[in-house]
Amino acid sequence: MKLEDNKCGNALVIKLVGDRLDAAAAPGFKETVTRRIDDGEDTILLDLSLVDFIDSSGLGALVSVLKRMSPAGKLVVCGLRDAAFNMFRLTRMDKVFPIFPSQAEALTALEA
Amino acid sequence: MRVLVADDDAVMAALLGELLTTWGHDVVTVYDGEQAWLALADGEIRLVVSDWEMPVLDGPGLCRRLRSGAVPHYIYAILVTGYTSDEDLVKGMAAGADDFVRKTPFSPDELHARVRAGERILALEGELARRNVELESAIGVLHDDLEAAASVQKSLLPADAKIAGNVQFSSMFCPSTHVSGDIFNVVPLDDRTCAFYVVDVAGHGVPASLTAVSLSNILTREFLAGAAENAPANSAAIDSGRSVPEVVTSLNERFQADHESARYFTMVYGVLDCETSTIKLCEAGHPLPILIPIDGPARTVGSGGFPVGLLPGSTYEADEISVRPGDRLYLYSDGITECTNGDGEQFGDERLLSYLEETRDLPIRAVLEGLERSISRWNGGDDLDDDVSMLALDVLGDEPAETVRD
Repeated sequence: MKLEDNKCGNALVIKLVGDRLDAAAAPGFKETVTRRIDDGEDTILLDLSLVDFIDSSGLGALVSVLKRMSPAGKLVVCGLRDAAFNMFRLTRMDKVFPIFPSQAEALTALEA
Repeated sequence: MRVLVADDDAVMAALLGELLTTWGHDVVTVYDGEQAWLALADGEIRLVVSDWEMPVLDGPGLCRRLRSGAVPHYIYAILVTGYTSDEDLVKGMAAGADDFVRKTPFSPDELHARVRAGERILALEGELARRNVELESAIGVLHDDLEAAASVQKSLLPADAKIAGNVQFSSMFCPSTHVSGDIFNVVPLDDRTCAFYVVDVAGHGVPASLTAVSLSNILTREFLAGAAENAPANSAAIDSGRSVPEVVTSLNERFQADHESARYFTMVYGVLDCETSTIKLCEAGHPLPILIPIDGPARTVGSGGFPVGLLPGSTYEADEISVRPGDRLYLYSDGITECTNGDGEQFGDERLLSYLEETRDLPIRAVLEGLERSISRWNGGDDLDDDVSMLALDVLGDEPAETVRD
């Protein structure tokens, strides 16, 4: 899976370019995001608007990068499609990750 | 090395044979391509030095036969030729020749160098063949080990048609590889209550199956009944033991994955009370159980929960449902709903729900077998991408509640 990132103010926006965050995509995703966290990024927005399937490996990778963040850091997600949103609700990840409808709304909240 | 010389010119054949013998080879000499082909039947010849033009079967014809697949190992072919145009070389190579030696002027040094090049290629081919044999044997051992592991794992699953009170438990199980990250069981706790669970460890194959097996060793009656085990036996033991959410909470603490391995699992844990016909269900990120009430439409039970081992301190709740004779409850892994067809379309929640609704009057065995066939058809008959499992609870007619039995 390709990841597109760009800096918006303090926030690093990472967009997942691909429709599946699954066992094939999860290791690369985790490695890349972990490296950015270790490089000092502490405000990260994951744009999942192109992802319509997240499996257990994908969920494991998302939680793993969340745990990697420093306690003061912020990791939020936006653009969840129906299937991904249902998966977040079923696994209560909607209680763990702040979720926003769009990049713009997420960035406004992160700047506040 | 045994070398075959094929040349209808007896003088040239003798010269080639003498040179090759001097260089330490064991030479067989024939005078046309057909004889050459027959001589190759001895199976020891590894390299052929052949004239291009010969009666009966010429050099390129011999090369084509060598490459026809009828010869078990690679035979290196050098054509001795007066034809040296690019077109001729291409024709010779297309027929299957590996190299060429000029006839005029003939140079023994050139032949020697080309034979040596052939020996190097053959040595590589031999090494490759040897390694392939080693690899095949290693894969065979792994395959046998996996089959053994799979049968051990299967033996951990419950025997079909376990009965607790008037509830019959049946199951369906199709691992994606030999071993599986899905596991389920039915564990009678006392004469009144019976625990059951379905588990799907993240990932699949050997790492997931090791976690699944270790889980099934932990989820014993002693663990599930918790403190009740130490209390005097009484019919309400479960109430004084671990509650349904407490069992899952304690598993969550026990299975906290480190950051790297991220080996967690989803589950539904339930306890059936045979006396009151109630079921407590704790959901932990697993697909929601489907209830088919005798007199109502199919529906899912509960709303989900944190997967186990993913986040420390997760809290869990239980939903309670009452069941009546004729009701059915299905617990299943996402290998069913996420199974994709050739167009990448998932089997999906809706299709499963409709299937279970439509088959509500069929015997439970027929429902599970039909579902297994549907999944297999949906998948196009290939190996499954994910483990598929289902545990079905069938509430039987108004019989007096029996003792929980295996």
